[in-house]
Amino acid sequence: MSSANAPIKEIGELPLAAEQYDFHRITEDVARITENPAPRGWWVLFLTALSLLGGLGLTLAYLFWKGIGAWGNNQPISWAWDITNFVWWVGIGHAGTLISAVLFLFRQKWRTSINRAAEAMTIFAVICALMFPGIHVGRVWLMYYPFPLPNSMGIWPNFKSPLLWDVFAVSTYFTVSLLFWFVGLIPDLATLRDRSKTKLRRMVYGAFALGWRGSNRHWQHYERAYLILAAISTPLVLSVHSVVSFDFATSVEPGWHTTIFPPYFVAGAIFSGFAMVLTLMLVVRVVFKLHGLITLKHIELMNKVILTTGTIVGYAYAMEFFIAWYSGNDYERYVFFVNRATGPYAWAYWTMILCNVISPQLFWKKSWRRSIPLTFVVSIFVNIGMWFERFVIIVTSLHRDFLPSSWGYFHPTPIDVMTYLGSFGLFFTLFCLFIRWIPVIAIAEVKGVLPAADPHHHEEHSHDDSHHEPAHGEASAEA
Amino acid sequence: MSATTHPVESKVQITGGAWASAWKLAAAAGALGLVGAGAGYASDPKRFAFSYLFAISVFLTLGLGMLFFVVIQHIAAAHWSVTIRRTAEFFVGGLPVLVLLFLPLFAVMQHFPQWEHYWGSSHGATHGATHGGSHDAHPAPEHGATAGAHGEHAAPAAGAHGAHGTPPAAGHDQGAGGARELAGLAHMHHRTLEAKKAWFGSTFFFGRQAFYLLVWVLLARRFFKLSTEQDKSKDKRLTVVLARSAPASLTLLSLTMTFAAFDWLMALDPAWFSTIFGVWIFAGSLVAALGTLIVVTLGLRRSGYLDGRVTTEHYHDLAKLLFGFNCFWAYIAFSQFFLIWYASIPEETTFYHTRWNGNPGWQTLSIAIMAFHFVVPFILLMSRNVKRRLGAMATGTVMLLVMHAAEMYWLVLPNFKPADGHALTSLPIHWMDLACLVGVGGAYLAMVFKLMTQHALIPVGDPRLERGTQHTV
Repeated sequence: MSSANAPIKEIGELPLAAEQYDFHRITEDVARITENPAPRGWWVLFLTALSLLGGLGLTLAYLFWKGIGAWGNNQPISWAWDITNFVWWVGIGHAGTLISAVLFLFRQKWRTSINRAAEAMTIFAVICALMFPGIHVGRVWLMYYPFPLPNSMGIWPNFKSPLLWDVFAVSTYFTVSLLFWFVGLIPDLATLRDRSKTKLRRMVYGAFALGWRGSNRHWQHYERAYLILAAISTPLVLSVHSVVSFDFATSVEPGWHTTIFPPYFVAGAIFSGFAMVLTLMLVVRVVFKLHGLITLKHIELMNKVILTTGTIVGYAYAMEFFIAWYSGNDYERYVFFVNRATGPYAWAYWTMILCNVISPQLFWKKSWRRSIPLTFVVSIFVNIGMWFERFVIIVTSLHRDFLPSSWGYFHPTPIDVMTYLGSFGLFFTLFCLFIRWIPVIAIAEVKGVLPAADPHHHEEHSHDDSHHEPAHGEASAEA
Repeated sequence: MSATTHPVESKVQITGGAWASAWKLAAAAGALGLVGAGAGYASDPKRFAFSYLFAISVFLTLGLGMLFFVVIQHIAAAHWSVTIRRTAEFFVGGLPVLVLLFLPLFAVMQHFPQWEHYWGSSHGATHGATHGGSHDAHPAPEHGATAGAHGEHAAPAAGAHGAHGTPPAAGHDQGAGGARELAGLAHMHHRTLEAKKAWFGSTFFFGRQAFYLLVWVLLARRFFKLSTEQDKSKDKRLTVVLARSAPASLTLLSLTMTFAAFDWLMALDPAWFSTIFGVWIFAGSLVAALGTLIVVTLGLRRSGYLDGRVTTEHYHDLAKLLFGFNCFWAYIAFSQFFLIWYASIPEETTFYHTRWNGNPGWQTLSIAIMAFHFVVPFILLMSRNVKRRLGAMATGTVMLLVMHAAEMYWLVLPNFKPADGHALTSLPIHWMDLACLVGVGGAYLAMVFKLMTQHALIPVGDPRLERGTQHTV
């Protein structure tokens, strides 16, 4: 008999990993990244990132010394690149949680090749994000103010402020993401421990593997913990960026106050996060030769998510515009039709539309979804576009406030630029270290989706070999 | 390699019994309801218009929700849902009936506030104020009286609100404004209404309605026809054809649903607006569709149909989706409420003001929707045990279906103001609401049940059928 789970070629179904992969080869291919000397590409990226991180340190030292005036922020544009960067980085994090939690609950098995890196990306992106509000307060030594700590001054944070909810939402998100990531890592850390050739390595991996022996009992507990954490993480995918959107939407600022903001921000976050996952995985796949595990099928599916979420974001832009007109409210109309579409920031608005709405539409065509150079270019476009989305929302809405005499135009200073570039340094330094020290692909989970992991695999193997040909589509396209 | 397909058995084909004659029962109920509704129309056309819109909204959202479900299964290449997809497809196949039943709305549309305002001049007999000519010279209080339906902040000028003692939100927020301020507000209200006149221009309006209806009929026909065709031809390519046309269909469906919701539901309060409104209606539609799927497949199973291919595993997954999308509905509904409440801008708060302070009946219904559309089903359906214990699960599902209808009532009817101008002091429940609901629902279900007798109850030609049957959670 043949398994109903075997891919049906006539309707375009393909296996998830290239056919030459068996359990052993997966372990070898992933674990060797942490065991062999790093390839040159890794060093280039790591040293560049480290330099930028050093630059960030210097920039921040100067910023704290001079004060926030070193940035271009000023009335009426009191929020600019800092908050743009914050929202951008938080948004990028969302794809990791979506891939690891939501796609897990939806039983999307293809997530296994990318979830580990995406979750790591989430954690590093949230770290970068948290930096921005932290330094934006100016007096960083008073950063504990937003936390509801009992204090002799009798000062409590304003619980009615969405900015405070942000503190709770993002820190909860960070904690849960870290836990989720770590729980998923345990079996793989044990694999690295067991392969260790030096004592130090064995001790360190051994400590983090929490005594994992791979027994049936361990797996049962593991699966349950993973499912529960996935269920806890899922509402966080929605809640975190919804709360971030409240920072804007609860105000009475035209361009900020609109009811679609929460789901629109969430869709945008997933959109930008998937773009970043693609950018990273396309590079990792080449540098560490993981073509057989991160296949064209994965890239195509991620491109479908990009197309879907990009179109949802386009829908939200359209709703904003339409309702601004439909409301008949002069201020709403002014913000959208004058400020955004034709005002001094029109260049930013149309860059955003080009990158976020138009460029993903290329993925309607199958061969373009499967083109690696095009995917890379579009993923970069989306990263840029989503940064501009936040810039457009924040800066264009603020630059002409209700008092025309105070209207202004935002000019970033070199410190602005350097803070932003520096956050890339932080992100990529962490990401490079992750690649070298932690299995970049979830070894145990990928093994679980191989045909050999199907309980009926062996029966069908002896009776029917016809479906076991090499996946021609994959193999030839890789070459 | 190819999934072994069971021979088509009697269990996937309705041969006799209650299900074979269900369509006649539904048709009879529908006919009775429509006759009643017709009589209602003769006695009070304005009340009929609102009842009928309510009934259409309940079932059209359900049918379009089903279409969305089918389309999304094709996009996701889902196998778990293959065995239940056909039930959804029957509801999709019935959509043309709803489109036909949509048409009478055009005959009574002059009774809805948006057309009272924009096309008032052509119905001058019913409404004293003429809106065709010199708007700038329009005196504010008179306008307030006409537009009383769509803005409680304008209502004090019309005197409709005085009885409640609580100052309306707008007046309160504006401070002790007095008559001058109220006149100013009424003037602003008038201006915002005039600003969107083009949207309600007759050619454009009817043109886009025709487009929505056409899109729904064409999509419904395509997804129903190709899937049932596959039953006989077993052509695997049809799966690919449907998957290919799904993304564009989804785009069309979401746009038409959004703008239909704007035109018929949001515009019932012509001055009010909310960018999330389309998403809200969509979320509710999907809840209604998933709930109906659960109830109908349970019924079919109980009569021995579906060939054991819809198992507890499938219900577990359906209930998870229902739970998830009900949470999504609550999230969207809350986002809209919360942002409007927090910003507290008079032109937006009117929506909730009407449904909270309008009269005690609406307040009770608002609380009931919160409790039984979200809180109770949320707690009930969270448990794995409940999702797999079909009786308990069905209870929660039926509750959600009832609340879906209640929500549509809560969206449509607060905009109804009796012709005699008296303020309502409780829910405006009328026998015509039931007549229209039974009439529209009966006619729609008659078509759905009729299709059930003509086609296999599961997509027997789907290449993923076997995988879907063996599905385990």
